Amino acid sequence: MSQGYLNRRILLGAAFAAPFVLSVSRQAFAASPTRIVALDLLATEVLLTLGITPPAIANRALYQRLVAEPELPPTVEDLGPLTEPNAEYLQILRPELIVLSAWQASALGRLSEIAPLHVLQSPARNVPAVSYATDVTRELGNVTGRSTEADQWIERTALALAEAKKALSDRSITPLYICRFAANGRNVAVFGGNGMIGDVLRQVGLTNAWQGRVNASGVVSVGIDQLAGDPDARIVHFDRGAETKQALSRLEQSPLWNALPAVRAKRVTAMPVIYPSGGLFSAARFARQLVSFLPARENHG
Amino acid sequence: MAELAIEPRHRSAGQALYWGGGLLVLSLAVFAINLCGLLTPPGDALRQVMAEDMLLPRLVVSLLSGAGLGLAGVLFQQVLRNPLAEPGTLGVFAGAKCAVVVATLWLPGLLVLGWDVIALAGGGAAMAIVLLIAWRSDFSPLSLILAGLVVSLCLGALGSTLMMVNFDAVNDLYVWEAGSLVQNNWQVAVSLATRFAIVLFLTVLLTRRLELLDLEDAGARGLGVSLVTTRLFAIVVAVAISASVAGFVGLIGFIGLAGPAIARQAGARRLRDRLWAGPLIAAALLTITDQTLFLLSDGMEIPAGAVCAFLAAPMLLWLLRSFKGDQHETVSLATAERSPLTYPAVLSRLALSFVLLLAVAAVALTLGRTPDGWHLAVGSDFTELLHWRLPRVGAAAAAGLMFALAGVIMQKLTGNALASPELLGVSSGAGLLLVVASFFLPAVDRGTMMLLSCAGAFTALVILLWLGRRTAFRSEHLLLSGVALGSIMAAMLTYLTSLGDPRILRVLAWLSGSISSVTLRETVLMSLGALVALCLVPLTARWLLILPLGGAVSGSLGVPERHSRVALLSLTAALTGTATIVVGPLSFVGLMAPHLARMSGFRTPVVQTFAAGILGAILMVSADWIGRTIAFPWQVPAGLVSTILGGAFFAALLVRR
Repeated sequence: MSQGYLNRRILLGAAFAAPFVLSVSRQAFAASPTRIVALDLLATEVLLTLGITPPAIANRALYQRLVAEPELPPTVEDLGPLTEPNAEYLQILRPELIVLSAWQASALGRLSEIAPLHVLQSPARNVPAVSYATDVTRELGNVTGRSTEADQWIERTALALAEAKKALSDRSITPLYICRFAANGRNVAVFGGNGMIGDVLRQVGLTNAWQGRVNASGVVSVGIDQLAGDPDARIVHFDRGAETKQALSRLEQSPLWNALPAVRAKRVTAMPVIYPSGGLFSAARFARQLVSFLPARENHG
Repeated sequence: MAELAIEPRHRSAGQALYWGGGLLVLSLAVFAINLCGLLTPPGDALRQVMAEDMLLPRLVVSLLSGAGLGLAGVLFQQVLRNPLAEPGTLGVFAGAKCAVVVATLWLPGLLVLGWDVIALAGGGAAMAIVLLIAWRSDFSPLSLILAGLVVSLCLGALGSTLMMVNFDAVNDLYVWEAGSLVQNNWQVAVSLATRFAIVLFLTVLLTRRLELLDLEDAGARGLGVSLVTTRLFAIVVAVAISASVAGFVGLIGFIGLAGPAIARQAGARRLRDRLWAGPLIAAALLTITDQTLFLLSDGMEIPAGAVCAFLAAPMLLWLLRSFKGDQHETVSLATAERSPLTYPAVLSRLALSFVLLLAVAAVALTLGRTPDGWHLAVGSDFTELLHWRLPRVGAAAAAGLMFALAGVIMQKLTGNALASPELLGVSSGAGLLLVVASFFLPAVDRGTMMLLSCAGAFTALVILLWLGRRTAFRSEHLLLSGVALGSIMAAMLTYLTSLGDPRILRVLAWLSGSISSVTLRETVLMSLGALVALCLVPLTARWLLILPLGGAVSGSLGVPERHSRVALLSLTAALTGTATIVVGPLSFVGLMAPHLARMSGFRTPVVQTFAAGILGAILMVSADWIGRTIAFPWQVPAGLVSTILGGAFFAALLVRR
């Protein structure tokens, strides 16, 4: 990380008063831009993974809540909602590149007047999430002149997944339901398909107990009875703090919950939230969490 | 006192019993299929538990929710003498939603009280506002529905924006809002049954007094019945049960309308009959829907609430066909009418409002916020920022002008002071097509979206025409069709959002208006379009002057009614469709601007049109400016700001009456 933090005053000054300086700096950075703004969560994650600190991102709070890691430096400014980041503010910040997702591109096309846009295409229907994240990382690595870092991370993730696979292989892990409970204790979001959660499970050699339908981001809302489909399965759920606590206290009063094979055999694991549409960093983190949170020996009962 | 009532059918209440019984048997039959499916192969202990603690409580909860909402519907309808009253149309659900969103975001400590308590507080508050607004017009059916509509739209918009901005913090709310009936124990069923029993008991106590409400007010008072207390008490009871359902289960719209309406059609005319038939039919309908979804969905949870609203809204349209209303009832607003201005006064005032528009635009172009605080852009800053601000100020002005013109035309066309593209569902029609397009088509540019939007607005207008042709486009029909169209859009959006599909973000981006992304070229084109429309209006001046007088008069004065209507409606569709793309389907500018113009003394159609156009532009530019400075760097969509401002304005007009 070689880029220093510019405070707002300097930026404002630079923005309004020094076209000469700017033109020089533009040329200097022309080969590999470093002032890169991310308007989407995945883009932010990948940039931070590559060691680039964006001067600003859209919806800081959402990133911190959902993605959390890689950690967001406090210097990164907030541009407002993902659907409508503040263009005037963005102009003041003078980014050299703006990275955004395909769903934003049609509405935010005008931002190209501030800096070139780099649009991350949505994954095609059949592309598994990890290979999509790999492509995105490589793509952004090329664009930002950090191909080396990108390749390192791709390798590191593959390694992390392989290590996790190895560590899990001698544990005879049963199929897993990966899910998130709604605070009402009635609805459950189950992850699967080609989404990031489902794909990582496959890559580390585990079986996803949920074989049903999922939407384009690899998630579906069901009732808890669906967690009984595979009687040998373990339930892994993402702990969102207060909401999850509330959900569990309600579930404990449910005869159906207590009758689920996984619950009866105490095969229920909580782990920190992973952003289910995240990039390689999230994928590797999820794999590592599986290794450290899943039991060394499976209790069958 | 005017009363909207369904034409009496001379059938006995016994027929309602057949209907209710038949539907109930049908719902139990679907349940039986599900139960058999669950219990094969027999002997599995877990499947036994599922039947006992999942499927059975789900059945009971859906029956109780449906019955509760049906009962609330009957009570509301009796007390308010309005066959269209139900928790959804009266703003109870929108209030509950807003309260729950606010509690989740800022006062999570309150959530331990239970969602039903919060929903009750919110729903009760919304209902109180609605009643307060309708008070001045003696709770006349139309003014009540209008007040409910406006409050629902405002609170609904507020709640949705809060949810949209905090997209993931309120993940659970999306599922709640969609009204999922999934259960895994008896808790909800038991709590709901307790509430329902209490409410039922209170209703039985109230029945005799409520029956007296069928008499004219004076007659009932003569019998010593305190009408106000009875009404108020019944409303509290109805709000309580609908908020309980909302809190425990979720938002289930239109069931409270459908049950009692079918009961009425099936011959349950007397209150006593409606009190059992309405809830019975509502319960059966909700259960049939939910059990069928359970049967078909293969494990995936499809929330019944949104589906019900989707199915029931067309039913509302169908019911509208048989409404008999007071021909003369219109809601007049406190427009504090001045005497018409003299010609020079008109000119000077028009000039004055134009200067005001320029002043507002100048502020919007120069004054803004930067990370360091307020900032007046001059010199080079100004040229830098003009690049961003000019297109949006221009687009806001054009959109405001377009909505205002559409509003004037529609008000003249229907002869009703309340008509506006927002309230009549024309912009909802445009929004509906946008939702479908952005969900199922690949990303398209704004030009295509604009065409789609106009097509949607036009389709909505054609539907309105088709539905309204039998009643010579009477205002109530148009208005209520608007309610139905708006609900179809809302239900569709709720359902799509609850799926958590990433494409919904694109939909939300379109629906919140794309004012920030309008290019200068598009702004210029839009402004030209707005000006052309402004110039077309004088050509239609004769129509606008004569049409409000009614079909017979205009015919005898030589205005070809159908042709003039079609021409004006096409113009309205184009205006609404274009403006919807920029600021989203809700704004209330189309309602506000024409009234402000009238209140300022601009009365003749052409003058009112010009004045409303300028005022609409002022309103929209101000709303956009407030939206982008109030929470810097976050931006509140201009459509939302003006919806809230417009709602408050409209409520004030109704109250001051």
